[in-house]
Amino acid sequence: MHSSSSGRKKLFITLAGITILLLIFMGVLQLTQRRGKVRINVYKMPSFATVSVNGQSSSDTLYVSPGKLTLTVSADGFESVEKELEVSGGSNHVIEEFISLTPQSDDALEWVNSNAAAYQSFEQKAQQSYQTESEEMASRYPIIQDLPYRGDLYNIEYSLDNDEFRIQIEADGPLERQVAIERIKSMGYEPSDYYVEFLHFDNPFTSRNEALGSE
Amino acid sequence: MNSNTSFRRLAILLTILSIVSGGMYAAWSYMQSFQYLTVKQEPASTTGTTISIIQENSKEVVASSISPGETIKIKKGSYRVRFTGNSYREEVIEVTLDSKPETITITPSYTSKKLSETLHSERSAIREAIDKKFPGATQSYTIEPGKLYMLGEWYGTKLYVKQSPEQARTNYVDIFRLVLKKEGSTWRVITDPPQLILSSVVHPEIPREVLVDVNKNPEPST
Repeated sequence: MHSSSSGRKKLFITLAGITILLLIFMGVLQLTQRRGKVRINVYKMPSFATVSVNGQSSSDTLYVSPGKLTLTVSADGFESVEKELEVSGGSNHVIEEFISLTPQSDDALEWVNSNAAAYQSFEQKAQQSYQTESEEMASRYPIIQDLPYRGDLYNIEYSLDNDEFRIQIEADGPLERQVAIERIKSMGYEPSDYYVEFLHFDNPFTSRNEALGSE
Repeated sequence: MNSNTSFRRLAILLTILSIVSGGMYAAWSYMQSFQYLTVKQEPASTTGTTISIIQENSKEVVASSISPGETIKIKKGSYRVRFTGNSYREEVIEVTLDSKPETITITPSYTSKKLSETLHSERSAIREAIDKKFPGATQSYTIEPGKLYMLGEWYGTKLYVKQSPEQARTNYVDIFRLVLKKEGSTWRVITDPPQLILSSVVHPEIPREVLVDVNKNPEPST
């Protein structure tokens, strides 16, 4: 009787040990798999919509390697949304995507009407997320507070595409481009610190290199 | 009598304790008033240069000559770390030592005079590297004499389309910026293709002071 109880105890301890070891192993495996990857949280409306990445079904939280990917959110009766993302950054980087689908069928429209409060709350969350992101961006790139600048001869705007910040200058001629740069300096910013892109401008050296097949 | 002796002993003990703890506190405070400062230099080897540390308020020289990479322990406060040397541009870095150790990095540069002299002997090699990278560019573009930077390993210049003096008076042209680096004995174009503005985001390897200077627009002629 006593030896049977002791045997059960040993079996229990062994099983518990194996379970703990397995859990630790799975945790380490998961951490290794996520290493160097970027987390994307997809918030979607309607909540039953499905998420796919590069055509493959995915969960709402995904870990991806830096690079380009296509995120698709779709649901029956709703217009699908497809987003091209260029993911950059380290393992601490988290991207939040709020995607709300537009109803197309009568059933979908009825679902939206009966879930108006949920839709409203979703929009508020998306707005909050956007605001937080904008504030973070303003602290990282203070020039945002002074842009866009729209003048008679040139416009200075900015783009923020997948964490890549660019100052965009739209000007018709060389003088206007130079004056736009001086304008940025007069705002108290050093153009060298930013990626400055000139819209509708062809760099003759790029085309020359392409023509010559330069390395 | 006994009680008096005990009281006296207690008083002596307390006095000794107070003196010891006071002394320990003074020693601890004295030790706490110092902090570590590490002075790095990149590149570390320069000839005939001196790094000195001067107290901000008293102007007292606390270290007259320290070696690159050396860590010294000095009183907390504000200091000026001064890098000097023949043919080198004086560099002064202000540093405040407080609760945590500090590390500063000196990046030596030659004087403008020395860099101009060096450019004279490097000009043909630089022009050759530009010609090789952008064949025909010298025929179509005016290449400014440019400048050497740092220890003469960086070169920056501006290019603009060639125009007749009459055209130049009325016609503005785009200014392209170009940076080259000397690697060993060879000059290599770093900013390919030349750009209207060179960015430290795109070229983090180029020292910021080089980019800022090359990106300056020419002063308008009066």
